[in-house]
Amino acid sequence: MYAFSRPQSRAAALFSKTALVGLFFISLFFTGCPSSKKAMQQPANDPIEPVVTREPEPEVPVYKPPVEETRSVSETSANLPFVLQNIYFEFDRYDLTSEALQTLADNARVLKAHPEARVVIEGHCDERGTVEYNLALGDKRAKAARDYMISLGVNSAQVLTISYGKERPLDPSETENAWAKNRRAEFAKK
Amino acid sequence: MNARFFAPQRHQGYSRRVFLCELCAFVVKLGCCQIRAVFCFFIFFFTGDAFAQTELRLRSETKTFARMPVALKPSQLRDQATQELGQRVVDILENDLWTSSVIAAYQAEARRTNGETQRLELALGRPSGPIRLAVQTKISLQQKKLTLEGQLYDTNTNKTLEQKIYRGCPENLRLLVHALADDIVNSLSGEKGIARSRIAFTAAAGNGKEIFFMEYDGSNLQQATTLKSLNLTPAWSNEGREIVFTSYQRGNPDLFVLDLIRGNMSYLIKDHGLHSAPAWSPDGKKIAFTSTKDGNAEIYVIDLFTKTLQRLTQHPAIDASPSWSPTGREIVFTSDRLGNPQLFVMDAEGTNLRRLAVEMSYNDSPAWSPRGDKIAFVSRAAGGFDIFVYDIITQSVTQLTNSARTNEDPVWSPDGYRLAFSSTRDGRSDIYSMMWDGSDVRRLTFKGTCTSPAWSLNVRPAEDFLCKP
Repeated sequence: MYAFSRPQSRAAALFSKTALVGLFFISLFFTGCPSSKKAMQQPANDPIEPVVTREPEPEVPVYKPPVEETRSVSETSANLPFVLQNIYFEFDRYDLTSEALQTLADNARVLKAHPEARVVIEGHCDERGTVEYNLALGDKRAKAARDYMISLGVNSAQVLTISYGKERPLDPSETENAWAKNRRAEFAKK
Repeated sequence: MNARFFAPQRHQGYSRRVFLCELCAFVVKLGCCQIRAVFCFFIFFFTGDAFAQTELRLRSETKTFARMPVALKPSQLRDQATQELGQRVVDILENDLWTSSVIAAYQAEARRTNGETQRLELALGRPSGPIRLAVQTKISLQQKKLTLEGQLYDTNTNKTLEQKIYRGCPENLRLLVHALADDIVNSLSGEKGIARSRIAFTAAAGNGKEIFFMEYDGSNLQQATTLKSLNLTPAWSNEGREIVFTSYQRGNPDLFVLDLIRGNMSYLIKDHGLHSAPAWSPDGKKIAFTSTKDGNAEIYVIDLFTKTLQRLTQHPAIDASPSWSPTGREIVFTSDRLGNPQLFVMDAEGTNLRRLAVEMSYNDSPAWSPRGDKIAFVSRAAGGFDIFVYDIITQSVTQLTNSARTNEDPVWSPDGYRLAFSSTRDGRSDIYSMMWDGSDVRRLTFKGTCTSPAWSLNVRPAEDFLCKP
């Protein structure tokens, strides 16, 4: 009898406990929507026409269009009689291929022969991948080329870098060939 | 996730048995979440007789979540308001409510013209019984003043649940209706709504790319910049008033802030190297971005008040595309430190770095949901790029798009129920939006060169309601 009634009372206790917990949830459920009630109790004709009350804002440096560079034609490298070859990269890579190393060595020789020349190495990518990642990848490619040329003795002031990511493809078509052409570093005379 | 109750709702044509079956299905669907199952069990157990005439509507982020049916009455017209104007109000409202993901809106008469809502309505079916909740709009037009009155009421008791008046410029009709839609969504579900949010993106213009923005449904397209240069990766401020973006205007990719109200632009960062992928912090005080100013692509955070810079990553690999958690305590970003782009999470100070357990080998462009539980990202699959979602709680990955072409740049709507993204599925790149489970895909732009969408919070500067001087 005793052995029988004990589990029963335990079950009853368990039930009353669950009932209490359940009631708690139910009460939560009924009290849980004051936010919508608040919305309902708003005055019926409350216009929500926005009132413009902005504190005067601190002065921000206003952007001014860039001033044209004042280097004369004779000072720019544009007319210098040399051509620098592009280098190309594998997909999603910025390490230099053996072919690229060869081209960069040639380019470095040219730049050392023209210490007055200034070039900007533009890093480019193919269209696959996001704008943001490709901008960073293009930057890596340009810097890889610059670092190697400096290691070959090019004056670091002669080479700057910029990344255009996938924004300036040479060939906009969607083929492996076009992509291979677009994954490049270009040397623009400045 | 986030199982919550709507207000209990009596529904005549809805038997208790159907309701219990639905609940059972719901419990099964949530099988893994024992706590919720127990919770549902209690509701099931105790609502037996007490709720014999009452139906509980459960909504959770599973495929089963229900929309609340609301009937839209034809507009009442006053002053110079025309029939055509009234119909426009109801049409915009219908589209807004369907896009909210929590309401099913039915026009009182069969005059719908919107294909998207028709498709959704067809998929869901019209409720068999009469719809209990209804919205009555009244519109009046005087010279330079538009007044829209919206009333949400219970058709059984004729009790008004919400009534509001919106005033503004006649050109801003859409915005006034959006405000009404957001208030209806808020009073019925507690959600904030998304109808007043906007989407910025980049598109080709001239030789470069400019920043454009539009309403969340693709209407009212406007060009934000005319800099005649490359302008990329826009992001909204928390107040919806400014856009921060990368511009090559000065020759170097720098970060600028454009004030849409004043129409002026100011430098945020002006330094050597690349600056891109800005992301405004949830508290509005900081902007995280990628910069190569120290030589390598790293994540930095700039404090907008003190203008101090903090470098968060220290690794010779690429670190890019930061996205804040909604608490602002963590940042998810892309890094190729393991050899290919992978997603990593770190604390907002740059500590406690860990990799997201995603199996695919090329993952990029993470976006943390404003609900906090999911991270959308892009992965390079066999044929192209597709959008996936990583669930932080279950640590599972779900594929949302599946097309041979590219689907990129996912960004969340402010309520975390929709995603905008760019896709070349129709030939060239345009902006699309879809629901969080990949359904209800809508094309928003038709320019063919649109990328990098950025979805604003559901706020509009007060000036936007007024007439332009």
